[in-house]
Amino acid sequence: MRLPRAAVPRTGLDLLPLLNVVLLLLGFFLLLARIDRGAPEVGLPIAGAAQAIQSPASLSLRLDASGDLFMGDRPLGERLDAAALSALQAAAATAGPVELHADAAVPAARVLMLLQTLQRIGVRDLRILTRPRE
Amino acid sequence: MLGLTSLVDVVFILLFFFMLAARESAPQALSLTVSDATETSAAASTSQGLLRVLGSGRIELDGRVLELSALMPVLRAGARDQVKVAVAPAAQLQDLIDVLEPLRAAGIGVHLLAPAA
Repeated sequence: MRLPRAAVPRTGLDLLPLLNVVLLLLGFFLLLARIDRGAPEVGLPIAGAAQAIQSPASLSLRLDASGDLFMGDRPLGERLDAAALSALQAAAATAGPVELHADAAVPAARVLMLLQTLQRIGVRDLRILTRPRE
Repeated sequence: MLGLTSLVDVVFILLFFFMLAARESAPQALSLTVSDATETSAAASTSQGLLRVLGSGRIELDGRVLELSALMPVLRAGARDQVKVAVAPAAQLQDLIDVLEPLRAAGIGVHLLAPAA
């Protein structure tokens, strides 16, 4: 005759659900970091005929809606002074493609003057980032 | 007792779904080259084929103010394959791109003029 086995009282924590939640938290933060890095802080202009980005740019400039220019997180000021120009030139000499995150509402004249300045200091491959039309 | 862990699991998975769904599509790139000539020197040399982007969907072609939608028919009628493009102070970057797009699509060469400083 087989006797029913007495239920063994569970001791300690149940690890499996804990592991589940920890992995989900890990996934959440990984995804958050990726979205943060990919999203520029400016409202990019919309263009239908732009090309997909093949190779990542090594220098990234940001021109926000108020006309302030940044290289990475470093502000370069409204007018490019000599120090800002030499920093740009040094960065452009070693870097490959330069990408410009310019806000759609920035005056076009400001963008063209900036492009001309960059061309003068030797930047050849310059890209203006756009959003595809929905 | 509520299965709190399973609830958290489901909430996280829903959160993932909406984060991915709301993610903006990857940016694209447009390369522009600015001519060395400025707007004033180009206007002095010839007024032919000079297109000024005025902003708010309006352009000026050889001194005539047009709606953006009328640009391509006028250019086709004139059989032009090159235009110089300048921008008015009120024009925004989006206005310029809206003008450049149909020109590029039609294979018309664009010389972007830097604004006179």
